[in-house]
Amino acid sequence: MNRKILSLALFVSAGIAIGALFANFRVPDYRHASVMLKGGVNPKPINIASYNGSQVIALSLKNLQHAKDIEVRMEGAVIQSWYPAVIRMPFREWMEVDGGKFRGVEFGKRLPLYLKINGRSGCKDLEIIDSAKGSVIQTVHFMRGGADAGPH
Amino acid sequence: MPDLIKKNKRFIFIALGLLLFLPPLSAIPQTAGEVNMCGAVCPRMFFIIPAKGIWSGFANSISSAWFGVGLVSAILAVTVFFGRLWCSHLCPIGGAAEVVSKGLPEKLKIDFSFMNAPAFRYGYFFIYIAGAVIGIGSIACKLCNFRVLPFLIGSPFVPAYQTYLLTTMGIAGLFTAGLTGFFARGGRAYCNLLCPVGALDSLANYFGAKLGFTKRMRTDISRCSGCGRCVDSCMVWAIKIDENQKAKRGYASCMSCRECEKACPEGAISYGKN
Repeated sequence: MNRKILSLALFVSAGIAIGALFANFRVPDYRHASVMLKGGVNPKPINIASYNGSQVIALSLKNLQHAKDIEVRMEGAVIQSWYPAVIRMPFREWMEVDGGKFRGVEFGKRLPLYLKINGRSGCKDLEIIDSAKGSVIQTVHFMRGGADAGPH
Repeated sequence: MPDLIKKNKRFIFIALGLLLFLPPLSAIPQTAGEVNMCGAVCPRMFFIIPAKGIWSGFANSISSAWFGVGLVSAILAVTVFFGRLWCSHLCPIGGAAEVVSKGLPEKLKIDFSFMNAPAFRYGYFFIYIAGAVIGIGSIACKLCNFRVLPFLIGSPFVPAYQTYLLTTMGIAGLFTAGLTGFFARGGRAYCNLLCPVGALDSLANYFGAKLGFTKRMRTDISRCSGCGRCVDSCMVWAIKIDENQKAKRGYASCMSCRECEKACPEGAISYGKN
């Protein structure tokens, strides 16, 4: 009985310890962030690591306005998305994706983006543009120095 | 031929799961407007307790991952009545790890069976669901096999997947998938120890087994010789030989995969009602 309780306590603690380790796992070359895409709303700046190598920012962009044609621009960055599907099923109409240009984005749709940036070139701005009107919907500012760094 | 199909029925279902859920076809995620197991299809994020605004946070998570919510609800309902058929027969993530593991030499594999799986699983699961709200931090997508394996399989077709897998986070995810999947004996250590969907499913299985009318793997103790072949065949180390030299099954881990039924020389194990 005592052995059972000891085993239980030991492995529950081990599970908690591994969970805490995973929860605190952070790397300098990858950052995940979410942005609500809505005209007239300035999103909070996104902190990224002050790191010399290249970094990947996984940006989840949720379209909360009626613009269907959206372009994402960031100077010197490679912009990728996993949309559209490799093999498109006939029952669904897919948006068209060309680099950072998306056509036919539904309201409420989440755009997963990977922004590959060079770590050495200062702060970056991400411009999100309504391609039909040619106007900027939102500008997202990236700040170097990690999650704990202040604005600079 | 029908015998061969009968013998490999579970692997036919796993192949179907891989085909329907994972890239390049992703037929089922495409019904929800997704191309992998992330976004609306994500089955593992909606039950994380949000750090701020618990009810609004839950509502937001449920509306974002609406397909995943439906999928997990269906999985749990099936499990209560029929055992863990999703995990053992259809899950493309556990299935992919198991299939790859089967192709690797046994001497390279890690045996996790020394671990008290339910105790570890629910210690980890507690941090998984409550880490953010108690201030430890969130695990969420970190080292997630529902992300890493679809990305790995889709990477020849989608450059964005390669981008993720080549980051330190992606490499750590691959390492976790390798250690607890491909190079684990049975290929299901991730399912048994770290998968939050598996943790919920195990609870449904455990409590469902207590209802007399539900279908589960059953052992006829009077026919059990205590040879231990079922123990060796179990990929989630759910069976132990007890002090009376009889097989004892733990429903907090059993996946209803029926591998023990195939392994039993006495025909003492069957799937059915009590």
